[in-house]
Parts: sequence; C-alpha cells; structure tokens
Amino acid sequence: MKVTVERAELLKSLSHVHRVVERRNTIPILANVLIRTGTNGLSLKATDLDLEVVETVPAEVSQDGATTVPAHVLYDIVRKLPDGSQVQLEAGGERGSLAVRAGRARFTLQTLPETDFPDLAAGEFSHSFKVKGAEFRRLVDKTQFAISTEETRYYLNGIYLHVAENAGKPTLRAVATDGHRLAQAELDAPEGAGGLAGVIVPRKTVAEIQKLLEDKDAEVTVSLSATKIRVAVGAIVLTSKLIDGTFPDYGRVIPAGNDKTLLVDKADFAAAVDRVSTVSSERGRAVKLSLGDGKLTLSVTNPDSGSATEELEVEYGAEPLDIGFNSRYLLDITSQLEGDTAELKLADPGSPTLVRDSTKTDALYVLMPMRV
Amino acid sequence: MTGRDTKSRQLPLDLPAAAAMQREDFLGAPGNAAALTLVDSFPDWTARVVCLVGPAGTGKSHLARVFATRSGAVTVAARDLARAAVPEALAHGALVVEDLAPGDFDEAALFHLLNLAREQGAFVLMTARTPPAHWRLATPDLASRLRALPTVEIAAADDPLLAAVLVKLFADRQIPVDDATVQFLLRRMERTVEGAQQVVEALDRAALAAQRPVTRALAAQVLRDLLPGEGEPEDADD
Repeated sequence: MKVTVERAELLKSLSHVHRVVERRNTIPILANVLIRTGTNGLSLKATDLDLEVVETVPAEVSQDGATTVPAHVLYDIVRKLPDGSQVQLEAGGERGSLAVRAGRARFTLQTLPETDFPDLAAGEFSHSFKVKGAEFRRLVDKTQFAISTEETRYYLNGIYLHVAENAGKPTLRAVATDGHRLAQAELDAPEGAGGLAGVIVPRKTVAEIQKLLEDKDAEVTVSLSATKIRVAVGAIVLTSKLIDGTFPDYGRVIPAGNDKTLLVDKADFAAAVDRVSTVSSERGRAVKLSLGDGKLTLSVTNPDSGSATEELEVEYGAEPLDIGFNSRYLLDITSQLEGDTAELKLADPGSPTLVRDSTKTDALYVLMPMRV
Repeated sequence: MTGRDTKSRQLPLDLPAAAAMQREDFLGAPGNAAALTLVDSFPDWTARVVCLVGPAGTGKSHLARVFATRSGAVTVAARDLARAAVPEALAHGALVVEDLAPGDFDEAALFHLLNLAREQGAFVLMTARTPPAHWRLATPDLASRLRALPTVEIAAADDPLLAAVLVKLFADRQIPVDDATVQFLLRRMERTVEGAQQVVEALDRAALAAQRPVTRALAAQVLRDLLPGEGEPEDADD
C-alpha cells in the first residue's frame, strides 16, 4: 500500500474516527484504525464492536492495500505535522510496519493484519430516510441531556427514535428520560420513515452523531434495522448497534390535564434559579417555587449555608401552589427552550410538570418535582 | 446511610412497565399445574364454563390472557357486566370474565350470561379469589348454578415459585438483579405474589428516584420503608 494524502483532510477524518476508539482496550486490534485504499481514495475505519465509523478521504493511490495501525498514535502524529503538508503512508516489506512521511518527518508504526479487523456486519436495513443535518441534530440536541447515565437502566441509556403523530401529522420523534425528567422533540416525518418501529440509539452513538453533524448543512441519510442504525453524512458513515431493550410507554407520564399555567420570561427565570441555588447543598439542589397571583417566589433553604429568595413578575392566575424542583434540571430544560417565554403547566407538588416554549409545539419537557 | 433524606427528595416519573403475558412467560409450578393444563387443553374442555380460583397474584389473569389469545375471547370485568351487553360479549364464542367477587357484580347479568353461554355452547373462563360455590347470593337459581360450576384452584405460590416470580417481575421491568438480592428479598418480604409485586415496584421506583442500581442494600432500605420494624440496620451498608 502506498498513498499520499493532504494532511488537513487526513486530520479531519482521523479526528472523526479516532474518537470511537476507547483509550483502554483488552482486544489489541480495537485500538487500531483500519486504513484501506479504494476507488474514492483512502478509507479509515474505527470500531469499538458496538459502533463503527468509516470515512473516505481523497488520496493519491500509488499502490493498493490495507493495514491497521494504532488510531490515537496516528492521530497525534498527523495532528503535529505542519499544516499544508502532504502525508505519505506506505505499508509493505517484511517487517509489517507502516511508514508515515511528511516533509522531513518519518515515523514507523507497528501494524496488525487488516484481516483481524472486526466488521459490525450491518446486514439489511428495513428503513431509510433523508433529513437535513440541522434538523436531525436538533432532535438529538434537545433530548440528549435527559438520557439516563445509570448503567443498569440500559433501556434508558439512549434516545428513543420512532414515528409518532402530532396534530394528525406523522412525525419523527426523539424521546429520552432518566426517570426524573423527560425530553421529547420531533420533526415532520421524512419520506421513508413510515412504519418505523421504535429504536433506542445508545448514548455514545448519540454523542458521535452530534459531533458528525457539527456545522453541517448537508443532508443526512439515516438507515435502520431492528438491531442497527446507520447515519451517513457526506463521506462519513457511522454504523451502530441499537440498545436491545423496550423503551417505556412514555406517553403515560406526559401530563395532559395540568391546568395551572405559568408563563415566565425564560432568561429571567433561569438567572433567578441560578442565583438562589447558589446556597443550595451539593446533594439537595432543591429550589422551591411559590406561585401566587402574578408572582413567583423562588427560594432555597440550606441549613448549612443559609437561605435565598427572589421574586419574579409572571403570568399566573391559578390558585396558589408551592412546588420544588431540582435547580439543575430547571436550568437544563430552560436552556433547551428556543423562545423568550417558558410555559410551565403544573398540577400539584407530587405530579409531573410540563415545560415547553409558549409558542412552539415541536419539543416538550416533563419534570418530576422534588419533595421540599 | 441513615435512611431517606426526607427533607428534599426527588420523585421519579411513573414510567409504566409492561408485564410479559405470553404463554411462555407463565411460570408453571405444582400449585398451578391444573389451571395451566386446563388452558393448554383448550378447546378440549369437559365443561365449557370454568372458573379459575386462587389468591391475588397467582396468575389467574395471566392464564385468562393466554386463553383469550388462543380462543379469541373478549375480556370483561365482572363488575362491568351488564345484562344488555351479554349477547355481544358472547358473540365471539368465547369470553373471559375477570375478578368475580361476591356482591360486586350484577347477578341478573351473570345468570343471563351462564344461560346464554350454555345455549350457544360458548366457552367462558371466569376468575375469582374465592370459590363461587360458597357465596351468598340474592338469586337462588344463580347460586345453584355457581355451586355446580367446575372450578380449578390455583394454590398460593411456594418459595421456589416466589423466587422465580421475583426474577420475572424484575425482568418485566428490565432490571438486572443478582440471585443474592432475590434470596434476600425472598427471606424478608411478604410471602405472596402480591407482596413480591409490591416490593419489586417499590424497588424500581426507589432505584429510579436515587438513580442507583437495584442492590441488596437498596432492597434493605426499601423493605424497611415497606415493612417498618422488620429492617435490619446492618444491611444499610452502602
């Protein structure tokens, strides 16, 4: 194998694929990136057995071939090469090594045979649809924060992607919950998504998708089977296993009959929550919301450090209510709202509260209170 | 840990769990063998109207569900049974009547149902916690019909079955749990399927609220809350 690649192109691709490679690996080949020549240039592939990313970069191929080298080392080398340089990769000879040359720098990397490199065996995909990168990214961004990090709740360790209905129109909907809060975002169902059974996309895959869609206006092709998801953006193809679990019937925790409506300026509310929670303890984090006629009082009492209160002018006409929330959860949710005004639909201090933009219906958040 | 911090406590969302209710999900045991044989032998029944009798949580509804799947039966709650709706309920040739309990159903409707079922040769599977033969009823004809009704009893679960039930209940909720925790619960919880359901649900909620895995230590804490006075302080070891 002998190829020459533009350093910037190689670096960009390696930065995408090397993240998939775990820092610690008990299986040596998983620390490596597979590099292979092809008709479109050089393809780079990394996997952790659950997730694989393949990216093709333009390259001048003098001799076809394939090999694998340590991903993080190759990435670090290319990162430190001077900008604008041409990188030559040459494998062969009897020592089974890969020579990396750029300008006057020369590296020799140990290789492992490409035939040992695992393949995720994607199989057939039953559904495939195209969606704008920014729109798909929005689905992920709005819900990602609510994914559970409790490992034993494996069925909550991802985003539930499925086709639902909103006001009679089919939508592609993303839902995540950690059992304390729930986030839901949706967009008009793209052509080809019809009849899609729900799938749970794992947290690590979600994070990689987010990064692949960074400042991309390109179209994304999403393909799904019962066990795998494939996301193709430009020259990058990410394939991942899905979580083998059943996402709960989340619709039942989204309150429909909450009749106490609070409208509050989002920025003022977030700032006030942030201010009063300064005195809260690391463990507690509870902030009490006391609602009266046109007035919201936020308060925190921490026996160890003191107390704080702040009053806000709000739109609220229902009967007075005291309710507690985790301040961090309130801030997480308000930071996802796009408009200026947050709408909270409340019932009582022991029931879920619905939070959304006062003007938009394509995302909603459900938050369970704290007993305070 | 000195128990829950009751001053400020995060409440969990009430995320529903779906119980696995297929035939293969039913846990066979000596105490429910007769009932299982009955459902498995459908439609070769000696009597077309049968009542499953057993304490709460012993699997009557699960078996009724399996029967309904096989026979195409619709399911009605005994207390919702109305005389006028009987012909329609029997229209499929098979019917499940759930939770028959003395004083909690319309006697005229049930009498009409039994008559019509006999006339049409329809299959009816009823469930009850106590044998209908012993009930005091206002309609003497119905009382004598119920005395003649074939019943199949399901016994309360024994320990090996309760252990299997605990594992199934955790599996229904997709909660991985080790055998030590199951044995720990089994020794301390109320020894009924209902007791098992209660403790598993409470543990699921507690784990979700605390964002912790289900462990023996959490089980000890939950049992202390469920059954005050029976907890063991040395178990609060995390």
